[in-house]
Amino acid sequence: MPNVIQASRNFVCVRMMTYESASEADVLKSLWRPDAPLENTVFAILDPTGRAIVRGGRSPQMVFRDADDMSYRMNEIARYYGSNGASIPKELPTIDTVRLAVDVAACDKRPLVIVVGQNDQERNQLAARLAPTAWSEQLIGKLVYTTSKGNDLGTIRNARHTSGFIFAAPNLFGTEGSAVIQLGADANPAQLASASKQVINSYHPEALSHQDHVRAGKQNGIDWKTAIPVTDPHSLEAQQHERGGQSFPPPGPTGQDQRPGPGPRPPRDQRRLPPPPITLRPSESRQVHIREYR
Amino acid sequence: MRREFFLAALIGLLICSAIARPAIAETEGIGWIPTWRQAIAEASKARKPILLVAAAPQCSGVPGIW
Repeated sequence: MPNVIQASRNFVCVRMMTYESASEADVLKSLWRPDAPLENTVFAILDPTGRAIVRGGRSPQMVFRDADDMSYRMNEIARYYGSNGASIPKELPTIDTVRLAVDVAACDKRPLVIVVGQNDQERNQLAARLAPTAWSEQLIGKLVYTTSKGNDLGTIRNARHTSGFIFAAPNLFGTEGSAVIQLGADANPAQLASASKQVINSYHPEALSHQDHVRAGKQNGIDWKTAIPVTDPHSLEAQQHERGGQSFPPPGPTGQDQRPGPGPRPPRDQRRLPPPPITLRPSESRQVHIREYR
Repeated sequence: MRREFFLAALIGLLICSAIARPAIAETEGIGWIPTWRQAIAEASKARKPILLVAAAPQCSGVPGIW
């Protein structure tokens, strides 16, 4: 969907990690249906002050017909706000902790860069040096970034704990990483760009189907603790199924996913009510005129 | 086209639930800012609208997958 990627240049694109920050959960809840529990995914388009102008519910599919429709509407909104993409962010897009960054890198099947500095000032200086490389057209969106004081690198194999830049590859589950290239605090922009390209080219992640990944994680005793409780009704229902012995079936002979069956029907008084309707349906979204974006 | 859109959707907006979906992360090329703090500051400074998505980086307690 190159047209959506192109349209995204006129937007600030934020992707938050659900259940990994209480304060961000409050932001997401404010965009969600009133009084409904926060679900795993949220999609919205906001004005430059953070006010919602398109509430999409869980995904863009709930708002736009397809990628062309989405890019058209995004371009329309960008024109309305006079955004022409000329402004490139100055700040390195960093995930708050090494632990979460390794997980996100594994989710994205991308390497990550850890900026190590002994104090805030040094970390900020090193991150500022890397930022133009991260936002360059060749490398934008291809790496995950985080910072470290050097005391939380226990999950990164072969990592030096001294100031500098660690280019690392996450493992399948994002619970550990391996340092691939390490540059000192005196690395220049050309060296940073070169190392970035090198780690991208050398990274060949293992890929499992969604269901096989979850099954393998369970079998290996992998258990991720979220920062705040998961509240998505579908996830909670799936967990109930697991606890009730309705675990995922083994892979089929063709290697295709076999979704879990519905299980026994609960008593009538225990049946979960269907979720309320989505805020904005596709038919409604197309009625929103550009003038309403203000 | 709709199918392509679903599969390549912005963040691999995967609904981690009993409905298992194939893992995808075809978002290469979009410069995601990973925190609200950074995003709202940048939007305010650059006067750009915000494309917001959120997803859980784990499924059923297993990390490494959206």
